[in-house]
Amino acid sequence: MNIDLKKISILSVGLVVIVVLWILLGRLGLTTKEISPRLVSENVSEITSSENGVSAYTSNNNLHLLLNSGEEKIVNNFTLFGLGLSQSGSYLSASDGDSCQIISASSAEVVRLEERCSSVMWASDNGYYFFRDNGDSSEDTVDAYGEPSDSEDSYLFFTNLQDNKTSSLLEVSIDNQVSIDWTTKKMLIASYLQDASTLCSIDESNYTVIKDCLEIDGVATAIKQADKTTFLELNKSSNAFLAKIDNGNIKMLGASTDIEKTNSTKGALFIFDESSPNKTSFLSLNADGKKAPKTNITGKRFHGVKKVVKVNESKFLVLAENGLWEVEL
Amino acid sequence: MILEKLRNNPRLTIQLFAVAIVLLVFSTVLNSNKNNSGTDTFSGQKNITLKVPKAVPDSLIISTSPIFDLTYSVDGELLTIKPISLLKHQSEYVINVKYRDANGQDLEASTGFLYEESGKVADLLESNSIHGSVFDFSAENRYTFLAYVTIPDTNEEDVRKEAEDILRSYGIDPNSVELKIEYSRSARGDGVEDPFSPVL
Repeated sequence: MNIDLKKISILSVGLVVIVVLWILLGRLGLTTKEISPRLVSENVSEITSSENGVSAYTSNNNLHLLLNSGEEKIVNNFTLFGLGLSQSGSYLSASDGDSCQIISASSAEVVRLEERCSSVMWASDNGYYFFRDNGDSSEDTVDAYGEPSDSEDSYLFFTNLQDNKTSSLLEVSIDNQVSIDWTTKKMLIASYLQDASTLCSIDESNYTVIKDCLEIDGVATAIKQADKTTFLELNKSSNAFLAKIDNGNIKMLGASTDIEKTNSTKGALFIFDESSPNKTSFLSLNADGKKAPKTNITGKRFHGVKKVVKVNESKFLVLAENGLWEVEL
Repeated sequence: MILEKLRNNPRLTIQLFAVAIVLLVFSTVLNSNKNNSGTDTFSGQKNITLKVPKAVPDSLIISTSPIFDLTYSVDGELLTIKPISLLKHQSEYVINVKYRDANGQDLEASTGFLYEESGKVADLLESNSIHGSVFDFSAENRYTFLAYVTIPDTNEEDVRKEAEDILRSYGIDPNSVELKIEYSRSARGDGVEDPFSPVL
């Protein structure tokens, strides 16, 4: 038998080097990054963040405003819920169940009170969005064409803080779910009955506000952005699936979880794997689907993740069953 | 230089080649053990697999009961599901998958499994509670443990130390889990007044 020893030698050395390096790197922990989360507070009810590092949370009837300067403001006896921050973090929106309030983040004072406001609302740097069960027929209310509105139906309204004009944007039925995302400047209107959704751009310089709508097949209820990629939560059979918009088409990403439990970094969406016995792994989902875990979270750890908000490109606040945690990825 | 040595020593070359093959087989076996599943009971990080012949990946609708978060991938005919949220010890889970195949047919597949924790933590989860000197100790899940203090005037630090010793005796690092200490009404001293106490 004619054996080419030179080829076998090269192959053997190559294989041995690869396997030994693989084992060594694994042993030395060089293939994973170990990080420890920091407990910010226990008994946190809600958390929200803006696009430029301002975040807010409620804990034991106190509102904590974490400004991007590093300063923390505490407002005592704060019993409102449904927290939301505007794009720059200038305004905070919250509700007491009957009325909605717009609060200045710098002074912590209520700058606008909206009576008969149902469900959630969104603060914007230019105004605020709110639902109202009964139509507002006041002269300041205009419809999508700038005409006075006399509708008696449930509508989503936008009030411009500069001129105090309120526009009725769209009729909302009981099977609809509306969400607004400031990273993408998009509004999602999902219809459970029609098993379809509409994704629209937001332009607050115009009374119509909503423009350039894209029809989506499926119930899309939330949206997140990583670099130039738009990720969606699609609801099917009571489960939430992660997907991305790829040239107007929906591409499934291989994960079923609430998008609130995810966030984005380095161009990909990430979720925390809480199933491993002694660690919380970090899974990233990019355009090609699932990637292997690369970050392990060690030491005192969070579990039962409810929401992940971004403070900056590498720092995140994780609201979990056992408190609010800060994680630097 | 190494190549020259190996060329002059065919025996060493063959030995190295054999070592490489053994290491490769070893790593492959380790990897397949890590990803293999399909059994009725599983614990830890194992995955669940289901056959979905010719499935169009974007048509997959996976529903679980009770609901848990998961990641999934399709490789050939095999759908691999990995739970990413904490499952409940000794609970039965059912997974239903609806999908469309390459021929346009709507098909379904389903499977179920019993989830069980592995290791000593399973003993803690299965026992209702362990009696400490002044508290009852129990596991809520793999990460959360409760010391329920029943005796008044008990120092919290003493309870914590004893509870941490219990955790260590089960091979659990107290620094990697959550230990909750709760006091009963009587231990807090705001229980119902003793009806037989004399009225002054």
